[in-house]
Formats: sequence, C-alpha cells, structure tokens
Amino acid sequence: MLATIDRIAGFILRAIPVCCLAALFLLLLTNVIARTFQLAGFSWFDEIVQGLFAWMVFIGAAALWRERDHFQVDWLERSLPAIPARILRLVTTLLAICFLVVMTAYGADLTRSAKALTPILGLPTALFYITIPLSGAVMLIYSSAELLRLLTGFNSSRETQQ
Amino acid sequence: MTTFLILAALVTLIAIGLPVAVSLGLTAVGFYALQGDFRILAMVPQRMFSATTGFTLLAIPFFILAGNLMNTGGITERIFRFADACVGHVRGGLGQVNVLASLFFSGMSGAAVADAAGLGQVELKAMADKGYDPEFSAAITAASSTIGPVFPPSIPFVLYSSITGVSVAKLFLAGVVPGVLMALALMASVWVIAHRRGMPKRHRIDWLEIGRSFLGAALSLLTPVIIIAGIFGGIVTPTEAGVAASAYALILSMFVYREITVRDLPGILWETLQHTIRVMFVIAAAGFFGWLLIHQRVPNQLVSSLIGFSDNPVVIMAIVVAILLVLGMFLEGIAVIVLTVPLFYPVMTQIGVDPVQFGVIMIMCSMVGLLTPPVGMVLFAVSSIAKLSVGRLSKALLPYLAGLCVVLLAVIAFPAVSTWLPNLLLGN
Repeated sequence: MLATIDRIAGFILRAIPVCCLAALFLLLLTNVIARTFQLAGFSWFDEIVQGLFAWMVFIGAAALWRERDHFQVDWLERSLPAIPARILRLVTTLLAICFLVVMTAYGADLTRSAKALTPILGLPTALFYITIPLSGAVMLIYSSAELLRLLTGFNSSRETQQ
Repeated sequence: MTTFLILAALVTLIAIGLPVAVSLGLTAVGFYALQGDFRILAMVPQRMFSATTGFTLLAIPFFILAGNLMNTGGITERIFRFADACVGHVRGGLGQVNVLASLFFSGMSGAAVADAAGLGQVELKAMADKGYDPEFSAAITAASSTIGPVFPPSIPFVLYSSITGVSVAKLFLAGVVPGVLMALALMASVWVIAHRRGMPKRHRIDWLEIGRSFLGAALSLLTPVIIIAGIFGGIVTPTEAGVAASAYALILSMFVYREITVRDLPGILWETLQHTIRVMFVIAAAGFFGWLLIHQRVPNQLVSSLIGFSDNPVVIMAIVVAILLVLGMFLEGIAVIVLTVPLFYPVMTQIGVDPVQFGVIMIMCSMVGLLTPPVGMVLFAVSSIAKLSVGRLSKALLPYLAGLCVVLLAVIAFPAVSTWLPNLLLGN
C-alpha cells in the first residue's frame, strides 16, 4: 500500500516539472517567433513564465528529495562503520527536518498573506507561492519517514525494492 | 568572528553530509533562530522564490536540454566523426579528436557533465575500439569536458551574471579565448604523452572524409552560429538563445536525423530537470543565505581582512584563487560559485580586477574542481562510464590538470586574455 502511494507520488512529482518545462519551452519559442516576425506580443507572458518556473523548480526539488538526488558530500557517511554512519544519518535527517519545517511553515504564511493579483491576468500571486510550502511538505514527509526508519530499523518498502 | 562562525557552520553542515542547499538555508535560519530573531525567518520563502525565478536563470535548463537532445539525437556522433576526420591523423589521434569534439560540443551546450556523460560515451567507445589505454581515454575525456562551461554558451556564466549583474553577452565573449587556449593546452598535453608512449598515428589527411563528415555534421555545427549570432545580433536574449538551440536540436534529431521520437521526450526532459533542479535548489537556498551575508556585512569584513593582510593585489588574488581551488575539491562547481561570488566579488572590485576577468577566473577554478577528488562531478561521471576507479583516473588526469592550470595562470596574469574580445566587440 505504502509502496503504491510512493510510486504514484514519484510519478506526479516528476510529471509536474516535466510538463512545466515543456510548457516553458513552447511558450518561449512562440514568443521568440512572434516577436521576430512581428506577429503578436504577449503582455501576459512574464506572469505565466514566472509561475511555471517556480512550480518546476520547487516541485522538482521535492522529486529529487524523494530520490536523494540533491548535491551533497557523502564521503564522511560512506567512510564510517555502520552504526556511526546510521547515527550521522539520523543527525543530518533531523537537521534537514528543522530547515524544512521553517520552509514549509513560513511558506504557508507567505501564501496565506499574499493577497495581490498579477497585473495583467489577475492571477492570485498565492498560486505561485504555494509551491514552496507544498514542496517543503512533501520533503518533510519523506524525511520524517526516513527518520522513523532510522529510529526503528524498519526498512521502507522503497528501500527494500532497491 | 561572526564571519568565521557563519562560514564554519556552513562548511561543517556540508561536510557531515547535509545537502548543500539545506546547509546554506539552515546556516542562515540557525543564525537568526539562535539570536531569537524569528521574524526575519518570514523572509526564507520570499528570498527562495525571488532567487530562483529570474528570467536569466531560465537559460540553465535550455542549455542543458540542447546538450541532452544532441546526445540522444545523433548530433554528438556526427560532431565526433567530423573532429576525427580533421585531427585524427595527428599523433595521439583520438585523444586530439576528443578535445576538438568537446570544443565543438561546448559551442552548443553549457554543461560539463552533459559533455562528459553524452559525448564522453561516444569518445570512450571509439577509443576502446581502437585499443587506446582506458586511463588515457578516460582522463582526456574528463579534462576536455571542462571546456564546455568556459566556451560560450555557459551555464556558470549565466549564474555569475545573475549574481553580479555583469552582462551575459560580455561573459560569453570573454570565455572564447580561454576556451580555445584550454583546448590547445589539452591537445599539446595529448601530443606530448602520445610521443612519450610512441602512440601510432595516421599518415595522411583524408580530405574526402573531411568533406563527407563535414556535410554530415554541417547542420549540427550551425547550432553555435544560431546562439552567438542570435545573442550578439540583439535578436534573442541568452535564455531565448537556449530555447532556440534546443528547438533546433529537436528538429534535427526528430525530423532530419530521425533518431528520437516523441516517446523519448519525457525521459530527455526529466534528465534535463535533474541537472537543472540540483542547481536551482542550491540557488534558492543561497537566496536567504546571501541575504544573511549582506545583513551581517560579511563581504565588507572579508574585504577589510584581506586588504589588511596585504595590499598587494597579486597576493590577494593568489589567496582568492587558492581558496576557490580548495573549495572546488570539496564542493560542486555551482555551489562554489553561489557561495563565493557574493564574498569575493567586492574584494575583486576593490583591488581593481575587471568583473568580467574575475568571472572567467572563477569559472575556470570551478572547472578544475570538477576534476579533483574527493568531490568532482566530472571525475565521478567519467569514472563510472569508463568503469575506472576514481584514484586511477585522478592520477591519469594530472598532466591535463597541469595544462589547464597554465591557462588559468595566463587568464589571471594577462587580463586581455579574457577582456580583449568583449571589449573589442561590445566596448568597455
């Protein structure tokens, strides 16, 4: 059950940034062509680009977090024996959770307090900001699961599959 | 003292294995939390958002996408074949081809890892088929891939520009001469090694093959022309040039060479995003960390300490370069740039170093870092493709690192190496 939810989450977390990148590509290309041949000007262009870029980066960050694929220096953990390495992992997971709590909580505050609308399309700016607490929450869930696994010695289904 | 504590906390967090982005964010969050100043933490999401959504940074995914499309779309092989026809007859044959192909490839993509992982596979296979020593092949493949981010277009230059406000067009032009010098230095190293080991060489140039392979690669070789002419002709911004290069690579791969289909696109886009988001999440977290540095006047303190230590610009430059090279051994190149540009940029302007020249020095130092253990992205990528231990590959890389360091010294000692071309074409 958990493995299925994790697989679906992984698919969605990858699909959103892939769709954003494809949309950005088409939008920017259309804009260049339209401007070069003086066909049309898109005044709403910047607003959509900024929104797509934010969703692509922050949801993509959550996808890479799930896959433990962010830049990190892991030679200390790899050079330690099993138990100290596990303790070190516990410490780094706890520290990561501290940052993610701040990112998620203050990100949610920012989203709640953002009442402004974008000047041309009239989109709520909260629609752009919400990607930060959303991404933070997903990363928090995965880090909490990792913490639980380290504390209980329980192997998550994803790790078992790997 | 504050400066030392902030930097020590950051280095410790990175060293214990926390992701670089989280280390940056947590250092800043921890600093304010320990002071009980929780109101400032409301700026964390704001700074993260504004740091990542700048239009210039959008160039990053598209220059990576162009490289990935070329790798999967058959463009890379055609470039390699043309390079082989041009310089395959020189002693060290495919070693020379390896460097020239990387120079051509770097005119289309802006990421060293895209070169090492994509073109590198083609190069290593061709060299293995011809019986080249695996260490020699892997070392020159790794070394030559660092030309990519120096020769335009370049992702690190886009990043440097977004932090400092220096023109991307100027930086791109500033990378041309050092990029070509890097290629020449590596070709000279290959020639010396090939002579010492008595490697065979082809006796004559096959002009027919040059013509044939040029025709095959001509459309691919037009990509840098599109990028350069587009940017410097004022038709497109660097971001749009990345989009145009990706669109051109897509058309070639799908409709001309017919090597990829629509089904391959999600995989190519995801691979592009992996590289992009690793970089962008570091930039996001560095948004708040950078604010902490400025709020605590860390760059100012660093300027006064360095100038207090010595007022000789050469000594200060030597210290900065030494710090960059050492950091490059432990951190990924992009992280080095994000972390150190806000610190060292004011120092450099204070001692009268041209911001464009410092950009090239900065990027070249981070490229050397990509090749040095214990943390070198290109070193790891090539060692995994070539199935060679990092230790053996590092040793084989030494002569090429020496060549690259000579070019780095030339860029430091003679500002004109990097500033002559941008000043000539774009003015001071």
